[in-house]
Amino acid sequence: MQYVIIGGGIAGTMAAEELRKAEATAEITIVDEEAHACYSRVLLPHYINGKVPREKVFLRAEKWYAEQRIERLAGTIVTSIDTKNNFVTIHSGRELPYDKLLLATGGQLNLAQTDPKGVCYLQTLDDADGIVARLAEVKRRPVEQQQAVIIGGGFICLEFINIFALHSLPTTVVVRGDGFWSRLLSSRAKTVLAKQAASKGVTILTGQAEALPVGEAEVNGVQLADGTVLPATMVGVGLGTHADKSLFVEAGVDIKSGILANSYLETNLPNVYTAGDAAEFSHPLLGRQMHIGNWLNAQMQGKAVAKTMVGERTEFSLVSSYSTNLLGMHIVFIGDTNPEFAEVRSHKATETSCVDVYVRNDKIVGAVLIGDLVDRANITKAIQEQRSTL
Amino acid sequence: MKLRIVVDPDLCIGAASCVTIAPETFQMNMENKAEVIDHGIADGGPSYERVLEVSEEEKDTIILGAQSCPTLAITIFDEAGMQLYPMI
Repeated sequence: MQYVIIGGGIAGTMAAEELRKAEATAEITIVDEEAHACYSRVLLPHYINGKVPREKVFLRAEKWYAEQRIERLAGTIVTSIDTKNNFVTIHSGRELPYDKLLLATGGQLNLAQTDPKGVCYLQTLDDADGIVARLAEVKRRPVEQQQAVIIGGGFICLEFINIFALHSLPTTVVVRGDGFWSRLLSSRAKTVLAKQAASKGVTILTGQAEALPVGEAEVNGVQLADGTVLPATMVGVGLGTHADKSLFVEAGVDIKSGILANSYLETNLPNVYTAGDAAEFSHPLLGRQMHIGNWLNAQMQGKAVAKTMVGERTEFSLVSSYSTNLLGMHIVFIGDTNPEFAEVRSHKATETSCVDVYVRNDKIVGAVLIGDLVDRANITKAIQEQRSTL
Repeated sequence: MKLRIVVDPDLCIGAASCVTIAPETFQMNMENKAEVIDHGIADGGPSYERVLEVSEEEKDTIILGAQSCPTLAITIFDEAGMQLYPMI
């Protein structure tokens, strides 16, 4: 049996590991755009902030792949997928035949309109290295040149806020919508977060249709639609990700915001599977196609899809959550938190905390907890048990 | 067999993946950090470290819970003090 996995992140790596456990003699190949062995993206902020040394972000040693007899093609781009004749072509021209193919390609970063030196993203270890280097450079400058701007208002934005705060860089956040996670959160939740940011000296500019990093040799500011330029020597960009559609559309793989799959992570094509941030899969408990970008989801999908690929069909029904914080204020997202598909009910609200529950067809499908996590376990259970009340 | 399970609260970011995978062994505290519990019980009060008597199956679940931690905040030792996870 020949397995080819596109993507060497946690979903692809977990899948490879499970495939090896199940089939001692199978040929397993991971095609990985990354030069590095599998590492934890979630540890990157800890690395940037000096909490863990760089070598500690790795989850697998180089030798692990050899020990497991998993071929990892590092720094390798897939140029086409032939799903009729079952082979993948990589940029060197080499063709990799497969019996079963896993698409675990994660998400492609949405970029800023321009990105001169000093404009940083936070998706890969190389990005993190770039941030570490830039921070050191900026900190050597006169204080009035140590200014940061963040473009975007989601998870990565919060990571940048926390990083810049730790390095005492005055920070302005520029968002298109009306606050943090403008398309997911209730106005109550947004207000609590905006107050927290303001109380720590972080300014948020909402409703900004444009945020253009400017500067020749390096960034020196971010220009807004009205022409205002916010001075900045460090710009963090967190505008989310999108699916790299061209490769998959040509291959005949159905795709919407992610690669479409059923609850077994099987795509519309035989012997083609998906997992992790790339997958938009039918969630049996949440009752709709979900496109989830968190660590636990990716990791457990990698494990589950491998079972299905070896013939032990495994439905994926995990209700995953993600946790972050805004300058010390805890924030947890559980399940489906998209108000387009659910009614948002306030469960608790104070000046400094907020718990919203997302309800669909009289069932709790998700929740956002800010500054008060007491109900976390209870809400998670309610979603798993498809209850209508807490 | 006995396992010693240690959570580093400084690395824990409260993702709670360990609680999702191994709820009998981990729970979140008020600081949004994972604590170690013994078969669902926090005997002797909350703790970031415990020695547990577990079955082979329970051991697998606990190791999977530790593996699920995206910040590698959980370390597991066997009776002889050998580190079972993380492996590197």
